[in-house]
Amino acid sequence: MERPEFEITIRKNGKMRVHIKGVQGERCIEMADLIRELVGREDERQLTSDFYAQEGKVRIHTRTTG
Amino acid sequence: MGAILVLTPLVVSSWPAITAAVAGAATAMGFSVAGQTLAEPRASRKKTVETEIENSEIVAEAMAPGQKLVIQKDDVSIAIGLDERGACTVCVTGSRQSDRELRAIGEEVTGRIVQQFAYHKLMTELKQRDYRIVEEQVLADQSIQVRVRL
Repeated sequence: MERPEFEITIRKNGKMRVHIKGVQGERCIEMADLIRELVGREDERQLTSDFYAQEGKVRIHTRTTG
Repeated sequence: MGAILVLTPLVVSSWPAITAAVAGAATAMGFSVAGQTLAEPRASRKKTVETEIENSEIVAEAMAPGQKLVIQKDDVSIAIGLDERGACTVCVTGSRQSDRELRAIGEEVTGRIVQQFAYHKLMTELKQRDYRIVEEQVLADQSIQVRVRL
């Protein structure tokens, strides 16, 4: 499984962009909230496609013939 | 993957933490730290433009009233201090620049102070939570990029 990772870019005007990778669902929200608490004011938040992935839940469809 | 946040850092801290950020910004921009003063030197022919760091608040416990940190490059000197509301002020003085140029210098310096402050604060807090830096670089546009992993 991928490890949680922050890719942090701090521009020379002080604005910050943080890309949270490798975590889904509630955990991702918790990490985003942590960053906001540490840094200051949140201007924008986008949830990316992997946020919606169900961590640890995999459904396998099998069909037996014969 | 996960989420993307865009944030504006709040610069709320003690005077020593602010001076560390100022020193980092000064180094990055080729300024040298001229020292801490209680009275701001003003030459008669020099122009001065004052601005402030937005969203800033200095906890003034370890700071004498009127204390400033001065950084210098060529004939431009910049005094960073505290106003009566507790906000961090940046006062740019120069003799050869227009008001507009002095203001642009002041805005660049305030941005760099916020950049340095946010970098040090976030790295300190994340390290305390067992995150480790796996990659760090300064990009061509002077942005600081860091990858931190749990």
